[in-house]
Amino acid sequence: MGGRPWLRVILVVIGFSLASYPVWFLTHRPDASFPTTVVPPEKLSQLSLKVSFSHAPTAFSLAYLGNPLLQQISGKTEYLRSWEVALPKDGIDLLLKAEVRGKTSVHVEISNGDRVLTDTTFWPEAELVELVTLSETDS
Amino acid sequence: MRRTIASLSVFCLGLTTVLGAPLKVASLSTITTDIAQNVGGDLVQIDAIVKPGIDPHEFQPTPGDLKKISNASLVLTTGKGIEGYMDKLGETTGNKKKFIDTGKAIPSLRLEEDGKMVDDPHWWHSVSNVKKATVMIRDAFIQADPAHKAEFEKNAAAYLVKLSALEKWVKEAVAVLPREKRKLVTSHDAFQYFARDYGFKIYAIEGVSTTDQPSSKKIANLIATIKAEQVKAIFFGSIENPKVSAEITKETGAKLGRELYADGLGATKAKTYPEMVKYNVTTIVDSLK
Repeated sequence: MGGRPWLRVILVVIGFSLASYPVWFLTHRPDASFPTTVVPPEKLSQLSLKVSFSHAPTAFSLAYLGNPLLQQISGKTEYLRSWEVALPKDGIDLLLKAEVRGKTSVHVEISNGDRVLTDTTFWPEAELVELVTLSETDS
Repeated sequence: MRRTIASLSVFCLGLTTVLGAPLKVASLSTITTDIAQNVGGDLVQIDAIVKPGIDPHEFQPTPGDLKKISNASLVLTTGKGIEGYMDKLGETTGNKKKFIDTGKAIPSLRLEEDGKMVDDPHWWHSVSNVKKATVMIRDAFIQADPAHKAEFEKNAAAYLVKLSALEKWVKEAVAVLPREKRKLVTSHDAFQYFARDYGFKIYAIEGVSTTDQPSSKKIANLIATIKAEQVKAIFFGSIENPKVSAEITKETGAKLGRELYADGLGATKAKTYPEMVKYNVTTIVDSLK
């Protein structure tokens, strides 16, 4: 078992590297349960939100995933806001809540530039809780 | 003393005759039992034939149940094919007119089962459907006992207010869950009415009935879908064995969610309809967030 010591060291290192590669490969594969896929960035949509009441509400909010987009201001009947959002293909739900005195018309209009995506009217007498759905195909 | 007891007995008998005995109602679903209790109050005596925890897909009435059904003035069913014994029951008990099929008040969702289209019988997972059934039961009670029309109307109105509040609660609860996460893998296909109302997609392991067994091909396809859609949790029914659901969680990495009340009310939890809805919705939303 002669030979140069430095050559033996190199051969041992190469041998260990080759032997340990299969073990490393097996333990460092990506998780098979959830394949890693590159998700393309969702297109941002610039939306105009408009909610108008025939009589000023005593309480009002329009929220997305628990975050308010519009909130009640005493005596105000018309609420406007522009909002930039990435619309997933499954769409999004906006939660519309209002308290009114007597029968009131509540008009919700959501548009993307010149195009109206949602145009709907509710007629609550006391309390209103509704989901307003917007989908990717709307935008 | 004897005279006093005799007088009291006569008085009580007279009082019962004046007030009338409660309307005898038999119920073949825990859902209709709960609605009937709310609408009827003390004016009805309900025999709950299908009790909490019993699978209505597999239930068969015993001779004792048939006796109770025969003695009842009204029999409440949920219909749409879940009571597979209905034809025989109608023949055995004679009077078919006393059967109130609440499912007839509700438009059906149609699902494929063994290559043919069938009505989905699980209409109670939509609160608006339960409102329609409440109105139908109220009207049936009024027809059977018109003397108590005002009470039935008042009770039904109060229950409908509760159901409207429940509907609002569900909308608020579901609104915090992004629509792309509203993917529900359930042991059997019982939540399509809920899915329609709140934008969920359902991937069921079994079919419309708990008696259906999934094929290996169906399970393989489901596992592939769960992985591709990155579904976070898989749910099983409160009266079902979670074994298949548990096996699928092992294959997919999704977690096993808590049990859901798919076919009716529970004996210890979810004992009333509003409790059942709140329990199911909270379980689904918390598991999928």
